[in-house]
Amino acid sequence: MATILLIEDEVQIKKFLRISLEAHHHKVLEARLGEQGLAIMVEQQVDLLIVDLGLPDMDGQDVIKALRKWSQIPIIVLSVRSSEDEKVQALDAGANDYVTKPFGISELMARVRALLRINDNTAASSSKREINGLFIDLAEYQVKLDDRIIHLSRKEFELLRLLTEQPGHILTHRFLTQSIWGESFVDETHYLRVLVRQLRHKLGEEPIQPRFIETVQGVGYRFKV
Amino acid sequence: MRFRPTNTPLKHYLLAIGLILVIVVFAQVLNRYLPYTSLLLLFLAGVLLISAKTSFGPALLSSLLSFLTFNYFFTEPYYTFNMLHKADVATLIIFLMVALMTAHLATQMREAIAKQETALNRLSHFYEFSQMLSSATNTEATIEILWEALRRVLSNDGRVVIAIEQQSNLILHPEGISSGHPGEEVFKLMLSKHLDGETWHKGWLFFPLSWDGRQLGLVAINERINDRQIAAIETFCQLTAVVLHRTMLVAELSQTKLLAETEQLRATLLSSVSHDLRTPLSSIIGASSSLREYAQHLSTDDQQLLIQTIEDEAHRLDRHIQNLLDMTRLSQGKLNLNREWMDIDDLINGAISRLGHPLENVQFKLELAEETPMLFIQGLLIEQAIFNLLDNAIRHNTAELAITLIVQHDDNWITLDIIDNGPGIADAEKEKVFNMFYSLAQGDRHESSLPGTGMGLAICRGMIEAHGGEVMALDNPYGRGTMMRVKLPNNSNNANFN
Repeated sequence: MATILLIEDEVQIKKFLRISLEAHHHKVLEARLGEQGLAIMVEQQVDLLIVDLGLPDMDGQDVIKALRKWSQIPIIVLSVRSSEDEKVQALDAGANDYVTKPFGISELMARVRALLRINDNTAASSSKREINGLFIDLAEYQVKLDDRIIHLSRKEFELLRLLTEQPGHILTHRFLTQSIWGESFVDETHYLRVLVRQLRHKLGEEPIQPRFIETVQGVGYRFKV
Repeated sequence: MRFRPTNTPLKHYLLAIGLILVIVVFAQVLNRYLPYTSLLLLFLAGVLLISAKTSFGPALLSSLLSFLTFNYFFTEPYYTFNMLHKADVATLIIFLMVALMTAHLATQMREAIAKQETALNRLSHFYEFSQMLSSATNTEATIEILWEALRRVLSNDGRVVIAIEQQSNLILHPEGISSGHPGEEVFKLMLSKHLDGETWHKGWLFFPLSWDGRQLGLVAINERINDRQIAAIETFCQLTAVVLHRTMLVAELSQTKLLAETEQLRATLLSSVSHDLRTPLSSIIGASSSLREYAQHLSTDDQQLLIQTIEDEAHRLDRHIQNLLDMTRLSQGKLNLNREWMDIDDLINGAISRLGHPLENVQFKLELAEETPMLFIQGLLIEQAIFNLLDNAIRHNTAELAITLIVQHDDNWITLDIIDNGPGIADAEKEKVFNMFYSLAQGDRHESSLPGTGMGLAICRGMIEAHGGEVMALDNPYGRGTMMRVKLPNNSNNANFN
C-alpha cells in the first residue's frame, strides 16, 4: 500500500492514527516537528502527507509551502474548528483536503483513500471524463448526464472542468474565482455563488443531498467521488 | 420671544404731539356745536389713549400740550395763553390734574400688564423647557436641550459651552471647540472650585450645574448679561441639574442591575457548563475503564456497546464545546461579521450534512423558490443557527419525524420556515425556548430525545439577530408540531450581480 508521513506533536492523536493506518496496511512514518517532517520527505519516498497546522517549531502552512516547491504528493491538513481562515490558507498554499479536529477515523480514512486513488489514476489528463454518471468531453465541449446532453455556458463549463479536474479535492472560493474570472476578481465571490447555483440547477441537484457538487462551508467546493 | 425694556423711542413723543394736533383740529370743528368746556373730554380721551399705548413721558407731554393748546385755541381771548374767565383757569387746572393722574394710572397699569406678560412668557418657557427635558432619555439629549434654551436667552452672537462630568469623563457640548473657548483644563479647574453661584473667569461667566450637593457640570457663557437673563439661566441650570441627576441615577442603577445579572448569568453558566462537560466525561471514563479492566469477561457485543458509548459521549462533549465557543463569540457582543454573498441552498445543505447519523430516520422535504436571492451573511454562523434549529427539532422528535423547509422571499426579507411534526411548543413557552439554559421539560421526558443544554436556541437567536434578522417559534400551520421561522434581511437589491 502507500507510505504515509504524519507530522503531528500530539502523542495520542499520533497513536490512534498510526494504529488505524497500519490496520489498513499503510506504512506510517512519524515526525513531531515540521523540520523533521521535511527532512524525512527529502530522504524517503512518501505517497501522502498528513500535517497538523499547529506544530511546536513552525507553522504547518510553511511546511506546505516548502513542500509544494518540489513535490506534488497529496496533503491532508489537520486543524481545529472555528479557524476557517487557516484551512483556506492551507488549501490555497497547496493542501488538497483537511479534517477538523475532533474527527472520526472513518472520515480521515475516506479522505486518504480518495486522495491516493486520484493520485493513481491519471484520467485527469485525458480529454474525456466520467464521474458518477456525468460524462464530460473537454475536446468536444460537451456534457452528458445519464445520456442526456446538458447545455452549459462557457463559464459553467469551465467551473465543471475545474471541479472534475480533481474530484474529491476541495477547491477554495478564491482559487475558483481567480481561475474563472481572473486575478482582479478574487474577492468577488458572489459571482461564483451565482454560477455554482446555475450549474447545480442544470445538473438537477437535490439541495438536501447533492449528487455532484458539495459545499464546504466557509472554504469552497468539492466534486463528490 | 423675550421681553425687552422699552427705551421710549422718539416715535411715541411724535405720536403724542400728532394726536393732540389732530384733536385740536377736530375740536375746532366740534366747537360750533358744543360748549367749549366739553371739548376737554376729547383732550382727556387723547391723553388716556397715549398713556395706555406708550409710557409715562409721552403721556405727560400730551397732558401739557392739551393744557396749552386748549388755553391757546379755545379759551377767551383766543390765540393767546391768557385767560379771561376765572372758571376757565379752574377748569383747566382740574383738567391738568385729571390728565396727569390718568397718565400715571394708565402707564402703571400698562407696565403691570407687561410685567405679567413677561412673567407668563418666562413661565411658559420654563414649562416648555421642562417638558422637553422630561422627554430626554440620556445625558447627551439633555445637554442639547439646555444648550438650545440658553442660546435663546442670549443675543445671537452669545456663545455657550456646557461641560458635564460623567464617570470621571468630561463631556463638552458643542464638541470640537474652537480657540478662545474654555477647554477641558479650564472646566476641570472651575469644577475643582465647587462654585455655588455664577463666577467670571477669563471673560467667561460660569454657572454651576449641581443638585443635591453633587456637582454635575458647568455652563460657560461669554456675554455680558442682565440680571433677568442670569435668573433665567440659573433656572434652566437648576431644572437641567435635576434631570441630569435623574438620568445618572438611572444609568447607575441599570449598571448595578446589569452587573448583578451578569454575575447571576456567569454563575448559572459555570454550573451548567461544568455539569454538561462532566456528564459525558463520566460516561467516557466509566466505559473506558470497564473495557480496560474487564475486556476478557465481556461479550463482543458488550465491548462494542461500551466503545459506542465512548464515541457518542465524546461527540456530545464536542457539541457542548462548540456551543461554548459560539456563546463567547456572541456574548462579546461584537461579532465582527465577516459577510459574503451566500446561497441559502448551501447553508441548508451544510447544516443537514453536519447533523450526521440522527438523520437516518428523518424525512426531509425542501420547498425552495427558483429565484431566491443571495444572502449577505457570515455563512458559518447562519449555518450554525440552522443546524441548531434542525438539531432541536430532531432532539424533541417523535418516532416518525418529518421536517419541511420552506424558503420564501419578498423585497425586505428572506424567510426560512422549519416545520416539524413533533409534539409542538405550548404558547407560554414559545418565547422562553430562546432563553439561555431553558430546556423544554417535555423534551426531557421523551425517551428518544438527546440531552441538550438549552443553549442551542439562544445561540441561534443571537446569531440571527447579529445579522439583523429575527427568529420565532410558531405553531405548525399545516397540522401538529412547531414552525420555526427565520427572517433574514434581503440585501440583494443593493448588490450588483452582473
